[in-house]
Amino acid sequence: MSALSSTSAMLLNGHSLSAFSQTNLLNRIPQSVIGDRALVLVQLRGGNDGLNTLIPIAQYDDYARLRPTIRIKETGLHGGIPLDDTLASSQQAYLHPSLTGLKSLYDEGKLNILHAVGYPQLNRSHFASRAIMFQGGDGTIENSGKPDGWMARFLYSAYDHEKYLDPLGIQLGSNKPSLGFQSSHEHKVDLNLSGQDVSGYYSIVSNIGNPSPEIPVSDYGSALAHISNIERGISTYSKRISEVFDIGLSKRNAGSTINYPSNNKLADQLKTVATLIRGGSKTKVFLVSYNGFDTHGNQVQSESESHIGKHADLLKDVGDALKYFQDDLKMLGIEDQVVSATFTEFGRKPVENGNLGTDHGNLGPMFVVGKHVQGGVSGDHVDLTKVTELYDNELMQHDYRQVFTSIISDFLGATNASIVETEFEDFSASKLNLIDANQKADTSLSLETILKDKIVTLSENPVSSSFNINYISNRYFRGRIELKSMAGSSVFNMRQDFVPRLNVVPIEISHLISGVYILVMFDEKNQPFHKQKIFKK
Amino acid sequence: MSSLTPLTSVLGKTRAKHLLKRATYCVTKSRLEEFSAYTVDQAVAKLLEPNVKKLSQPINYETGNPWIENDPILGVVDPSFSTQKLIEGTYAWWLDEAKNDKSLRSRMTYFLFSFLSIDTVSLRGKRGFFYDYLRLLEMYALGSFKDLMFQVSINNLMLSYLDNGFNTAVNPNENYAREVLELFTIGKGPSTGVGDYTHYTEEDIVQAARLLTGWRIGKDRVTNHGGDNGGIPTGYPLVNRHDFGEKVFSERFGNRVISAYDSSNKTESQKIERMKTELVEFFDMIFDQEATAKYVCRRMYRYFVSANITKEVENDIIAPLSDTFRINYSFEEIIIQLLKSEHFYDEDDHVRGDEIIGGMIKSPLELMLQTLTITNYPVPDAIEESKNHYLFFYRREMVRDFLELSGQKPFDPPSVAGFPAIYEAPLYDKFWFNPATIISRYNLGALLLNKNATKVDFKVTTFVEKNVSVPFSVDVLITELIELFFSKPVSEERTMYFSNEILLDNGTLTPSMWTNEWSNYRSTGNNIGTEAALVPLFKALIWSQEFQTN
Repeated sequence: MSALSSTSAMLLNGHSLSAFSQTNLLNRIPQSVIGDRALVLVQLRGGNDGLNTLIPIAQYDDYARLRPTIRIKETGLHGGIPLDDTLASSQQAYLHPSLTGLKSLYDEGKLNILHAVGYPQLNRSHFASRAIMFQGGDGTIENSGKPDGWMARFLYSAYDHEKYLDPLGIQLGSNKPSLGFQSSHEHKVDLNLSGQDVSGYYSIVSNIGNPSPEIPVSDYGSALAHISNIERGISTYSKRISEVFDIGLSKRNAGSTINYPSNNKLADQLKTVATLIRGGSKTKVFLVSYNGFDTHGNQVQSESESHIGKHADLLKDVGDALKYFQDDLKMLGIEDQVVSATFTEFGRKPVENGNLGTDHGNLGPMFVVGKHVQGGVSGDHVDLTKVTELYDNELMQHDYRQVFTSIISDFLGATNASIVETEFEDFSASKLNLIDANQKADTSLSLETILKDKIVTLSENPVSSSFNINYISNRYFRGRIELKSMAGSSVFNMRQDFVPRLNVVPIEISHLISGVYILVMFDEKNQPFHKQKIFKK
Repeated sequence: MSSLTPLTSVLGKTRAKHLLKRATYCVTKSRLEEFSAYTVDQAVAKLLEPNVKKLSQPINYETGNPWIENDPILGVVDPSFSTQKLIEGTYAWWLDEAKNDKSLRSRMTYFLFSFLSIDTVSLRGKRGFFYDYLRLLEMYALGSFKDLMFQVSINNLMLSYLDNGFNTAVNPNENYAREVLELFTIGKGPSTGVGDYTHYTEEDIVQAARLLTGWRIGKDRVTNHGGDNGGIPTGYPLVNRHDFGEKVFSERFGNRVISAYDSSNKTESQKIERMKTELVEFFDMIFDQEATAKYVCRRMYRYFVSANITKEVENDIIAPLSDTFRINYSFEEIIIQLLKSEHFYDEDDHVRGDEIIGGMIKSPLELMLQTLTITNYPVPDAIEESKNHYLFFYRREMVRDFLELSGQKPFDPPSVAGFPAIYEAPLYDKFWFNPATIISRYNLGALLLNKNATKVDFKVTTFVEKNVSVPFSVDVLITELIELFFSKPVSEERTMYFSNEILLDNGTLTPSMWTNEWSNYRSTGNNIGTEAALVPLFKALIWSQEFQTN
C-alpha cells in the first residue's frame, strides 16, 4: 500500500499540510525517487569469521592470544589494512589484507561497518540460524518456525504486486528458493533466476505450453496446485525479465567500462543485478549469495602465511565484488538507487580450533554499502577479555532485524504499518543511522495514517479480565479483533462494526491465563492494521 | 485414526504403482502388471529379494579397466587416473545400477544418504573413497542403524568431509560431533535456552568431539577397523591423538559419564579397543534416547510417505514405528511395517484416496530414473558402448544437463544437511519444483529425444509399440499412456486435451488418420509420421503437472 502513486502523494500533501508538522514535508524525498530504490542482500553462507575480517587494534594482544596460529599479522607486507586512524580507540581496526575493495568503499564514505550483530537467542546450527534470520525470528522457541520469510512479509505489506511488472523479489546464486521469500500467499511475487540465461529466459519459458489440470482437494491436488502456481508466477514475469535485462545490457555497453573480476561468482550475480536495475527493473529486494564460509579447517594457509588461504580468497571475492558493483552502479548512473547489506548466519569462535580453522560461534559484523549510506563504524569491537569461548548474546550490539528495519524504513520508505506486518515493530524505535540524513525517506506520513487514523489506545495495559479498546475511525467498516498467544494460536476473536468517531470496544478475557498476548485489529478486507502486545495480569 | 495395520487386499493398479514409485526407481509396465496382482505381503517380499548388480564397480571408458580395484573378470586397475573422471564414473555406475534395481535397496540407500550426507569433492583424489561410502550405505540399508553409525564414524570419506580425521585431543574439531547429533541421529529439538537444543546441549557437542578424537583417514584404503563390514576399508585409530579422559554428558543424556581410561602401561591394541568401545558406548547412549528413533522414523516418513506429519500421524504412525525401531534398530523392520501399512495406501480412514498417493513432487533423481524405466529407455551398455554410457549419456546428459540443473546432483548436496527439499519445512518436496528448476524438468522429454546429445536413438513409436495394447486406437493409446505415466486417473477433459490438442494437433487431424498412420508404420516400417504425432505427446506427458508428482 505504500506504493503511492504520484497523484495520491500530491493529494496527500495538498490536504494535510495543516494537520501535520511541516518540516518533514519540506524535506520529503519525492515518492518517485523512493520508488526507484532497491535493496541488495548479500548472504555469506557458512558463517563468516568476523574476528579475522575485522581485527581490533587496541586489543591486538588478546586477539593474538585467542588466535596464535591463524591471526592476521599486525605489521609487514601482509599485515592487516588499518581502517581509519581517526576512529576512537574502541573502534580502531585492521581489515583483513584481502579486503582492499572494502577499504576503498570505506574511504569513499560508502560503507558502514556494524559490530557484533546477532539476535537474542543465538543458534549455532547453520540450518536453524539461516532459517531464523530469513524468517525474521529471534531464536526463541516461542517465535520459531514462522511460516513465511520477513522479506515476503515486507514485500506483500509494502507494495501492491498487481501494480508491478517486475517481481518484487529476485534471488540469484542459489538454486534453492530462499526461506526469506517463502510465503503462503497464493500469488508469487519473487523469482529465482539462479543458473538461468536471463536474456533468453522468456524464450525458454514460453516454449513450454501447459494448461492446468483440474485440482482435486487432496494431497495430490495440493502438489498440482503448487506446480500450477509456480508456472503462473514464471509466465507473469519471464518476458519482462528478459526485456529488462536486454535493455540493461545495451545501456551497460554504452555506459559502463567496468570489467568485473572473472572467476568471482558473487561478482557475476551483482553484475546481473546492476544490469536489471539499469534496464528499468523495479524489483525491491535482490538476494545474492556466496558459499564457503564454514572454515573449520585450513582457513589460513599456515601460521607464517596467515594472509592467504580459504578465508582470504573468500573475503577477496566479497570485497572486490562489492567494490566493482558500486563502481558499476556509478557509471550506469544508478548509484542513488541501491543499498547493499551483507549478512551471515553466525560468526565463529574467537578461539581457533587447531586445524588452522575456527568452529561455529555467535556474533559477527555486517557491512552496509551504498552512496547514501552513512559511512563509518557502528558500535565497538567486543571486549575480548569478556568473551567466553564463544561470543555470547550478552555482548550483542545490533540485532540483524534492527539493521534491516533501518534500511527498509529509511531507504525504501516502509511505513510503520508495513514494519508491523514485517514483524519488525520492536525495532521501529531503535533504528540505526545508516542512511544519510538528507536521503532518508520520511515515513511519518502514509496513506494508512490518513485513512485509518491509527489511534488505538487501551484503557489499561497490563490488562485485567475486562478492558476497553479505544479507537478513532474515520469511516464505517466491519472489522475484527483478535488475540493471539505468543505461539500464534487464536485465543479470542470477535467481529466489530466501527463508526467514524471514537469507538470504545469492551473486551472480556476472563478465560485467558495470565501472560503475554498479541492484539490484532483487522479492517474490512481482513488486513491487520494494528498489532500490539498486551499483558494479561 | 491413522494405522500401521497391514493392508490385506490385493494391491490393484493404483496401489501397485504407488508402491513401486515410492519404494524403487524401477517402474516398468510389466512390473506394474505383476505387482497389481500381489497382496501387500507378496509385493513387499518381492521387493526384499536380493538385487544382483550388473557391475560390481565402475569401468574407465577410456581404458576398459575397472576404476576401483582389481577384479578377476573386469581386469586390473589403471596405475594413474583422473580423479574427476573416476567420481563421474562412480556416479554413472550407481545411477545405472539403481535404475535396474528391482528391490528396495537402492531407494533405502538414497534414503540413508538423504540425512547422512557427504559430498564427492573432499578427498576426491583418493581412489574409491566415494565408492566405499556408497557401498557402506547400501550394505546397511536394511541392517542395523547402530552398526551403521559406528561404520560411518570411521569411514574415510566422512572423516574427511566433516574434519573428524583432524580432530585430536590437543586440537579438538567439533564439526562431525555437531552433525552426528544435529543431523545424523537424535536431531535437534527446539532451542529452549542458550546452547540447549532439548535433545542435547552445546556442552554435549564438546564432550562428543573429545570422544571422537584420534581417528585418522586411511589414505591408501588398506586399513579396516570396521569388523564384519563386508571388507569396506575404514580409517584407523591413532591412540596418542585420542582423549582418554572422562566425558560427562548433560542431563539431556541423563548426565551419562563415559569414564576416563588410564592408558599408561597399556598396549596399543588395548588402547585401540578402548577407542572403539567409547564409540560403541557413545552410540549406545544416543540410541537409548527415544528421540533418536523418532527422528529417524520422521525422516523415513517424510521420505517415503508424506512431508505432512500431523499430530495424528505423530501419535498413530511415528510413535509405534519408533517402538518397532527401538527393538533392534533394524531398517528392514520399519520399512516393511511402513510399506505394508493401510496408512501408506491411504486406506486407514473413511475418506480414501485424498491423501498420500500422488501427493509428493518427484525428486529429480526419481523423475529421471523412473522416466528411463517407464519408457524402457535403451541406455547404452556400460561395456559395449562404454564411452556413450559413461561420458555422453550419464555424465553429460543425465547428471550435468538434467540433475544438476534441476537442483539435485545426487551425491553433492549443497550442505551437510542434504537437499532442502528433503529436510526443510514448510515446503519439503515441493521445493524441487521451483522457478529455477522448471525448465530443466520440463525439458527432460526433449533431452531424451536428442540423439546427438544422448547418443541414443530413442523412438517413441517403438516405446508405444511395446507398451500399448492397441496403439492404432487413439482412445486406448491415450488411456494406457496416462495410466502408465500418472499416479491417478484423470478427467475426461484432460484425456481429450492429450488426444485432441496434442496427438491430433488441435483437432486438425482425425482418429482415423492416426489409425492409418499407424498401419502405414506397421506395413512399411516407416515411422516418420508416427513419430511426428507421438513426439509432442511424449513431451506433453513429461511436462504435464501430473507427471511431476508421485
